Amino acid sequence: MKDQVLRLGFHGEPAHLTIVRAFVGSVLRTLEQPEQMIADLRLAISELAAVLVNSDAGEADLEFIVDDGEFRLAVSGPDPMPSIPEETVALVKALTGDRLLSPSGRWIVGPFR
Amino acid sequence: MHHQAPLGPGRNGELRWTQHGPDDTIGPEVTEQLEITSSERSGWTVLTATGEIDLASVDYLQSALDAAFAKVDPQVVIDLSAVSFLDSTGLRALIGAHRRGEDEGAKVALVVNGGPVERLLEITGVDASLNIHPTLESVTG
Repeated sequence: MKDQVLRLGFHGEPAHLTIVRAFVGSVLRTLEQPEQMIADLRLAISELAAVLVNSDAGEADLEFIVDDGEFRLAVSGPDPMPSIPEETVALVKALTGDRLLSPSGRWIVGPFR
Repeated sequence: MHHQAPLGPGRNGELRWTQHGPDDTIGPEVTEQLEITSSERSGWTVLTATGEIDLASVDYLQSALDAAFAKVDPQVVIDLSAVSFLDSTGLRALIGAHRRGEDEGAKVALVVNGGPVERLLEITGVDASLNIHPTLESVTG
């Protein structure tokens, strides 16, 4: 069963990173998720949002999806999506066990455990 | 609106950098993102960072590093014990400080004792190349 649990608009401002991270951390703690998973997800958000900011990508949607109990992060909005630097790809893959998909203008990262 | 506090002596002669987020949107407990204090200890310039280091706040860390390196024969220790978040932009600043120290013959050390900072250093493999200590005392004696 797939269930979208949270969707946030991101307006490409560096200062919004802090707010989004704080909000996501608060929500996931309410859902009693493990601190390590929350920390990894917060880091992935920051890294991918930085790509958007550095690309002047404007607004984007951040979706937090629960699928069979596993959390994934999806990022969409800019058309086309900016390319992700290799070092960012490597870091996000290290966080999620080698999963970072970019199907049709959408980044999907996860699962976070 | 973002603002950087004036660089100047604090109550104990420390230098202090603070960075705040948009004051008009949420409360100060969330918007105060990063504070860096600079003090002297056993010949070391100690930069103590508290809060989150990311794209929005890394300039404040860089400003503090630049000021520390501007001193004669700098020895710089960056205490990250109270940093609750660090991303790759902050990591780049730390690696830059390490390389600058090598280039200029200056000692540069980090204090890291677990948490998200240690996690990032480990998964990027950077921990093997930086001068990392578990406590401030293990650097300054």
